[in-house]
Amino acid sequence: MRFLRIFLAAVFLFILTIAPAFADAGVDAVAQNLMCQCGCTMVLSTCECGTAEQMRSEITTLFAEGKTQQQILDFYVAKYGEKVLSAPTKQGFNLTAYITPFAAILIAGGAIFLVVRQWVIHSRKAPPVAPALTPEPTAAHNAGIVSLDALRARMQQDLARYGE
Amino acid sequence: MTITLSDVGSAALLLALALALYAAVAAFFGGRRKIDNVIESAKRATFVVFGLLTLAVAILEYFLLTGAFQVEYVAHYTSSTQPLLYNLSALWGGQEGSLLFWGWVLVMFAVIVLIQNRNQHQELIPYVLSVMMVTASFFLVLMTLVTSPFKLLDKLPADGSGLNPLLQNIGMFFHPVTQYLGYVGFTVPFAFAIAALLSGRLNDVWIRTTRRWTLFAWLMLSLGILFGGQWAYVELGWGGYWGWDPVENASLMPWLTATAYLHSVMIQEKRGMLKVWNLVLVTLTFLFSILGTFITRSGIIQSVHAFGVSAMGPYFLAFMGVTVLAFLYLLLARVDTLKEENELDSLVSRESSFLLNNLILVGAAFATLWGTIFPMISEAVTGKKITVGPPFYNQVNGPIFLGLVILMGICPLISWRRASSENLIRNFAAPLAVGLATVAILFVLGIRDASGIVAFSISAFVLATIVMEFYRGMRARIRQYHENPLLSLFNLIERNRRRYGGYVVHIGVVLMVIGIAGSTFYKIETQTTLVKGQSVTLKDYVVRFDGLKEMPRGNFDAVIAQMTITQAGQPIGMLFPEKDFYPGQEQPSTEMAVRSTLIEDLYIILAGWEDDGAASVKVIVNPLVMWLWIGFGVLVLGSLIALYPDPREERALARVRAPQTAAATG
Repeated sequence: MRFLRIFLAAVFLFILTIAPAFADAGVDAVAQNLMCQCGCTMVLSTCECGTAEQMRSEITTLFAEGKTQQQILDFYVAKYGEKVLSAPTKQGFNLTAYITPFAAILIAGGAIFLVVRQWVIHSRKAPPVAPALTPEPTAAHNAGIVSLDALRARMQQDLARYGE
Repeated sequence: MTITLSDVGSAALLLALALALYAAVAAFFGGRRKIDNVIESAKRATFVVFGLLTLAVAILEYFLLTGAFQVEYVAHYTSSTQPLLYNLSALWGGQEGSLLFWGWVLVMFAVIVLIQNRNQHQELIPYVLSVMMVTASFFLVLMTLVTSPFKLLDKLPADGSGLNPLLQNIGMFFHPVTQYLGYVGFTVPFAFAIAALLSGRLNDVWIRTTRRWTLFAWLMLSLGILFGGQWAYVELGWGGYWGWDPVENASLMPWLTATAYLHSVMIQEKRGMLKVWNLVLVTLTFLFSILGTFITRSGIIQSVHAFGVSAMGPYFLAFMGVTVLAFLYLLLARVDTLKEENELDSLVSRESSFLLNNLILVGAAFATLWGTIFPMISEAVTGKKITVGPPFYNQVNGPIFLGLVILMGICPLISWRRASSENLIRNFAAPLAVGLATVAILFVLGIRDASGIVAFSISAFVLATIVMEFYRGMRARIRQYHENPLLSLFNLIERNRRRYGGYVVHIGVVLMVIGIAGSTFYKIETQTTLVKGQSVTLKDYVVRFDGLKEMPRGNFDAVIAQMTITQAGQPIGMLFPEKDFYPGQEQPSTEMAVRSTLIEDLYIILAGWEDDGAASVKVIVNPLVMWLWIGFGVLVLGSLIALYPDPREERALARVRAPQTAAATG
């Protein structure tokens, strides 16, 4: 337990060390949602080219005119089409972009669950089998400590498996 | 002289193609009919192909280093003023050179496989050789029929264009090499998998034989991703290291499936299960590697990294299509011999947790692929062009990766076969306490951002589970052998390199998560225009602009901003962000300046300047980025530990081989 106490203290010290690094993130929300239109394929907030500069100052002007974030995004969609947005909208066919990966994982996960459950039921019904060739590793086993008994048991298993 | 040598290079490639095709066919039929002379002939042909490709590489490097601008490739990617290092690395800077490099490394690996296995696995090797030489032939077809590195220009230009300035960075010297070593390396386990299907020897010999090859390829691809991230961080000038660009995604997909494979093979080795799944995973990894090369080099998907556009698309699609069909045919033909040797005993066991880990890893690869190709799908369905950029991946891949990190803590602590409730309580009580304590501490410290709290507390939980594993092992050794803690730690790792090397890799991943979370959730930035002597303040940094200066630097001219930095009132030095002007390039390239500490990076970009000498600068404070690089270093260390030859592994392999040999001779 002494070790755990030391570890907890180390975690605490680490967090204290890194805590000053945290601050509220200031993000240019509009620029993060738009792509630079110079052809560089970079998000507007990260691009440093002349086109990006121009678009950012245009956004500043639109904000000064009292436009909301959504109105500014709509303005750019009307000007360049949906490709100016850095991510698909969550509407219509584009919604499948967001749903499909999670749906695929859930369906595959469900299928795996059913197969594993079937295996478990089958293995419980089946007569007891010989222990696995490799027994469950203990801390001592993992640490490279093998007792004479363990070696003897393993030899018996191997002999049984390979038909002596 | 130049023309003669380029002819020699072209002839070497043509001859290499003919011999590679011969080796592929001869090895296959030799293996099928068990004709030793034919197999031997295929092996010798492989050695000759390697010699011919080495000659082609040497000739191209000679051209690149001597400025033979009549060769189109040399004129495109070198110049008389370009530093020697970048003329040398121009071999993989363009499409034709990259293909040559790919093919050369692949045949080199084939030769190494032949040498490694000269006295073993003779039932598999002919098929392994055949698969590798078919792949080499594909690349040689591209080099000879589609896009030759030795193509000559009609008119000798006065000078070359030089590499894209973005590629003139030391990171670009290492990034493509390691990336390609990773991509090519996955061909070896794939070739063994196909050989196992072709020969019908579907026990785990092929898996154990290729374990180190897979780990090597995985390590190289990890390094490729690391070098690519560092290059993006210092060269692209936007303060990030990963932009979810299609080319970056292309490198992540095989990495994810290979990671899944490295875990699932343990279940086949231990329990004789997941045989089909492992074959699928290794094939997927190979296909993703080919797709990665294809996306990078074809220009089919718009990308900041796609440095070449060509007509190779149909060839790659055909190759990948044929590979998928051949694999499925072989898999169906052998499905009867791929029956599981065991079934799971419990829903809660190491095996089922690994299945979950595989599901999430492959799910992450699928989500990445889906996002990469969705613009094409959307355009085909709706007729509208859309973009799938970082906000999409942050919303979709973010939660998937978080689940993966949690599993990284859970999987290793659940017992094989069946986990009892005592096992779960014993293993998870302390790490859960550490995770919850982290939540409380962060909350007390005034951090309210849910994303950060979740990421850091999960990292603490996973770190605690790994530390506990080391602690238990060390305690057992100290009790048994009375070793001191340091020696017990050394012996613990040394006695089970694969297991503890894996844990070290996990520590590296946790450190990377900490770096990614810090720099994603807590990054702050400001952009402003400063006249000489003016300052901008960000957090506790004051950045003063002390003027611009121009300086010629070899093959480019630089405009450098001099910035004096103070932190909390204390001077901490100067930084010099710059813009570089390369001849023939419309846009200058950005060279940012960074001051890195364990806590945060101060990152300054010179965005532009006015005629009156005022400079537009962007200042970013990027917390904890250093931990991302440290984490990568730890990951590499762990991989090297796991990669180091282990006599116990050799004995395990010998045990598996024994019955097979007996059956073959008996």
